[in-house]
Amino acid sequence: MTEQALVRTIALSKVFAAGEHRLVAVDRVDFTLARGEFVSIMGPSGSGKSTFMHIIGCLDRPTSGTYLFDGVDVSTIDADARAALRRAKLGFVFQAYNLLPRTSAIENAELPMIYAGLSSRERRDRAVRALLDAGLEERHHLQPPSELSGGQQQRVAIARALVNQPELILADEPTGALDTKTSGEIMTLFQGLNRARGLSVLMVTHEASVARYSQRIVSFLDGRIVNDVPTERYVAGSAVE
Amino acid sequence: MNLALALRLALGAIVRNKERSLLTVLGIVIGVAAVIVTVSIGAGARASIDQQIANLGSNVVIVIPGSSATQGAHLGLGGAATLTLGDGLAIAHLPHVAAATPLVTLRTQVVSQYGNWQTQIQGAAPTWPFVRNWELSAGTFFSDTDVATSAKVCVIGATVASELFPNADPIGTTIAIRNVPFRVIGVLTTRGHNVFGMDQDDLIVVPYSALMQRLQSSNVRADAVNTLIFSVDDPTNMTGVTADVDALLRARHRIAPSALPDFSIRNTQDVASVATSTALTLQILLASVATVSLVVGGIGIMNIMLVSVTERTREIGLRMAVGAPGRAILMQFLVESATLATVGGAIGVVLGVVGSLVASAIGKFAYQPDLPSIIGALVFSSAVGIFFGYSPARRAATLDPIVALRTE
Ligand SMILES: Nc1ncnc2c1ncn2[C@@H]1O[C@H](COP(=O)(O)OP(=O)(O)O)[C@@H](O)[C@H]1O
Ligand SMILES: [Mg+2]
Repeated sequence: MTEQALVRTIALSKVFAAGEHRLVAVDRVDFTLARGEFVSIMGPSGSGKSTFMHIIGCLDRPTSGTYLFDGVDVSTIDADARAALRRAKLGFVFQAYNLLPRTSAIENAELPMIYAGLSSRERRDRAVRALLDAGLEERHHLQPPSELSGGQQQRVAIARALVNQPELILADEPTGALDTKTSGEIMTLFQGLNRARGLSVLMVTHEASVARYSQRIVSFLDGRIVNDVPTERYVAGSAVE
Repeated sequence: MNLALALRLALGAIVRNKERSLLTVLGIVIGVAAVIVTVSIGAGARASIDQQIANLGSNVVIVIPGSSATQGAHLGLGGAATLTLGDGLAIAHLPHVAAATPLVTLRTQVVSQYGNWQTQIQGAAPTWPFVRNWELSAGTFFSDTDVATSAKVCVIGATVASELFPNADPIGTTIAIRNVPFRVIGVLTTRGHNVFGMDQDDLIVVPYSALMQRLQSSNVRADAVNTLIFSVDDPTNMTGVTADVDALLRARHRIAPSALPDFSIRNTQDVASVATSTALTLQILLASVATVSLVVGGIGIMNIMLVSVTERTREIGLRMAVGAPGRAILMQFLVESATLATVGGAIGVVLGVVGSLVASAIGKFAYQPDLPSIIGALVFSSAVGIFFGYSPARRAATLDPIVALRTE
């Protein structure tokens, strides 16, 4: 079991066609993420990181190539099956938090469970636990996003990603909108979840200081992986040359 | 996602956008209110027509001069003075005719010591209260002797009484009709307005002989009457008596059975059907207003739901990202537009009931909230919401999650 990768892509490509123009956003990427791994993706803007994350997150389909999630080929499954997979096995964290406005922290955290068909009592219990696990104190649970700091909002978003007990957390620049200190706290949280629970994390970031919290750093350039090293061997800026 | 939860989410979304929601459902509100008012006015008019038929007596037949080739309006109706007192007497002697009275009418100014008033004077026989099924609130009606002597006595309607005698008892006083003094010997009970809005109490009844000899100008044919009214002893004899009267009058007027008569016979059912069709016209008018506003309301909902889907594109993308299947998004927006429309319908019901109460006060008819029409209005408005909400909801459900998430 342990040797089977959680995520495995083989010659994965995504091509955007805008009229005559063809844009290869992800170019024949072979990538593997083992269960329990914490991997960072770095690279300049427009290098295809988000597009790759969307395919891994089953929000989008590859143009060609194969994507195996937990050994199952999910590159060709239909929209409903992808929704079911996202619901059961994936959790998303975005740079812009993407919380529902005028909706309390606890109700935001409950959102994925609505679609999983859990009872309201179970939803409430799990949301409270996830919010506490994500480091949001109880007194903030009934507040809407507008009354929370950026760091607190991202904690709500992380709680929301955790409630369905996913196998993989996908975080696209989760600290992009946060100051250095808060970024460190959020990364410590991810690191803790990864170490304590064996939760797999795939994260995109621009900052080497943030990527340091992961175990492995993958560098993208023009849709291709140009560097893939354990964090301790990563040399900042090396991939861009 | 189950329905109860979808409903809670929808209500939450509606409450969060109170003002906009209210504006959105304005068309539905007006449409439903119009439906409720229409139904109650219809019911009120019907009840009031029934009441007037009862007032008139269910077995009353009216004969008027002029022919009507078809039932209903004929412009020549009541034109020539072809009916006479003799016709009335002959009818009164037919079997199954309980009582008959001629009617000779004119409009004129009437003066009392307190004021003056323009009203209708009806010359009739002493059988008038019986035939019209109309009682007196004070005094007595005139007698056969009064008719024989063309006595200058009169019985006045409640409106005339209150206009000419604001604070006094009219009985025994004298009023001037076309400068001829008449003694008031009775006051009629109040009938109120009829379906056409006419005040039934605005009249004075005098012996027909007195009207013909003392009030009418001399160039009118001496024995001509405007109308003959009689009542039949039992409703089952109505058809038979009507045929007898037709034959009798044709014989008296020397009109062949195949020719067009110079009179028309109407029973209260005919009168009621005219009144009913008038009420129906009014109802159809209101119903079309209601339909148009419901459709406009539905389009308003569709419009605002499209705006809502556009505004909440990111939210939709997020819901999809956390695993909402397309059908859950579809349901969410369908339930939202249905709820919106139903809330609008409920407001419309409240306004409609209030409007009906106001209309019933003005139109002087009884009104009771009608539960089936209220439930029907609510069901219909949620159907409007679902129908017009479908296309926006489908648009939301088929959004590409990435495009939705990328939207600013
Ligand atoms: N839906 C799309 N249609 C067309 N081009 C796209 C679309 N999404 C992304 N791209 C293009 O693909 C390339 C990679 O984008 P992206 O994955 O967002 O890069 P990154 O996240 O590394 O900044 C960019 O050139 C971008 O403009
Ligand atoms: Mg990106």
